[in-house]
Amino acid sequence: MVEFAGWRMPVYYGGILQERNAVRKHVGLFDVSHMGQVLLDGAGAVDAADYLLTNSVGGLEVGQGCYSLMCNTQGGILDDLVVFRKSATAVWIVVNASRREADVAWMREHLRPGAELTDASVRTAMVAIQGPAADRTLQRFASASLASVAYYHCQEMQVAGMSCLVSRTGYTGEDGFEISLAWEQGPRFWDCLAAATKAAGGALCGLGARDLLRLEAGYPLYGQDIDERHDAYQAGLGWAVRLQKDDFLGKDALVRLKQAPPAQRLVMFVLETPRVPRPHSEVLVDHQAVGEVTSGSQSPDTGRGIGLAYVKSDYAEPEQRIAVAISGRDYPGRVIRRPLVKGSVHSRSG
Amino acid sequence: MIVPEDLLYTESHEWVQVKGKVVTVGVTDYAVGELGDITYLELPEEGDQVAKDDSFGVIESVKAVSDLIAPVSGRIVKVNSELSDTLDTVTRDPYKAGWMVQMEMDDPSELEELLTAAQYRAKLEEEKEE
Repeated sequence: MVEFAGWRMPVYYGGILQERNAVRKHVGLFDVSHMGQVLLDGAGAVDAADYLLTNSVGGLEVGQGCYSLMCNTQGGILDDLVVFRKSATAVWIVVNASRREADVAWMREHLRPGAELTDASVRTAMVAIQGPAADRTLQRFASASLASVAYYHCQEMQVAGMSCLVSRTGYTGEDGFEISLAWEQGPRFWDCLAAATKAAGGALCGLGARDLLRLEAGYPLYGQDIDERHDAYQAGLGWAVRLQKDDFLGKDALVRLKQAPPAQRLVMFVLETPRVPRPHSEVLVDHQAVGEVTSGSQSPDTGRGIGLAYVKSDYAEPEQRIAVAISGRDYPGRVIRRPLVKGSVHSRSG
Repeated sequence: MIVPEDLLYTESHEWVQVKGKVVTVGVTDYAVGELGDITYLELPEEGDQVAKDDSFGVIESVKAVSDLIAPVSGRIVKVNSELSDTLDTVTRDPYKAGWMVQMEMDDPSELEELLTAAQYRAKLEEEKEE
């Protein structure tokens, strides 16, 4: 167990590798109750969300959500998150646990009229079920047909006899769901799904597997790969910014930033060595420093080191040969297109 | 936590088996538990000379990278080169099949500075409480 953003969480239950394999092949269950849950309610809720976030909330249909950033006025990333339009007057935002307090304070400070903000985090439990068998494993307990819940959509339903908000989202690159429910019902809900997961040949999954899965999928981790010092265009997240929207926090800065190509870009890379590239390791081209590693691990499929790094834009194209310094030696590799592992989420999202 | 009685231990979680002038060295059950799945192992070559407390190799997992620390000064006389092909041997059987190197000691009195099984167990208890 480790301390994570004020919560005690398991790094693994059985082992990082076996848990990761379970998610890729069958199904894995994650307790993600640490995530922050913010609700905006009122006639102005959608407009308020559109002002706070970079992606379009007004353009979502009821029940639909999207990945978005929240930026400061210089265009620096305050958090990456998922936002859902629950109704014409209700918006649900899921934020990183490590950013919850900062996000809520910022949102309150910049809340447009006609919207009420509730930080529902500590009264909401959340469980993620991920993997090619997630749908059929969860369906046994769900009162509604999960097939009708499209990717990045949410629906209220009974699961295991408890009122839940189910979204077809996740952080693994596999098909799956994230399920929110009342905190007090969390333990009973967990026990039920944990038994079902294990019976289906799956595994309970901790932070270690979660980090490896998201890295294989090419997803950034806030605080490690993205933070206030980086903007959407450096991070390759310009697709989550709708500059055509009316004014929103950071818009002016992002308009300016988009006009000039970024000097550095976040890329994924693979190495020839089995060694794990560590955060802050130097990235080199022809023995010259061109960047820095932000996340690293070892690919279970290839047994080779993998990671994300910011590199000077001249060296950010796929197939660019690079080297990474590990423990005083330079190990060769190359930039690749994300994701490394194309999981079952890609067949769902169409 | 497995801590065989007949071995000596270092502060950095290596174990030492003494047979005359030769010692066999590996990492403890505690060490492999802390590391998790081992992703990389680098061992020295036969004939290498190592000083006590210097690094004689590297063991790495997704979680961490650790130097392997020589418990005594001496010459590497044998290396378990098969280990690199089956890294999970270290995890499954750290005290037998997971042995890493054998060294010929320069100065057997250095053994006196190592921990007994009881002392190592006490150290693990302390670390647990931290």
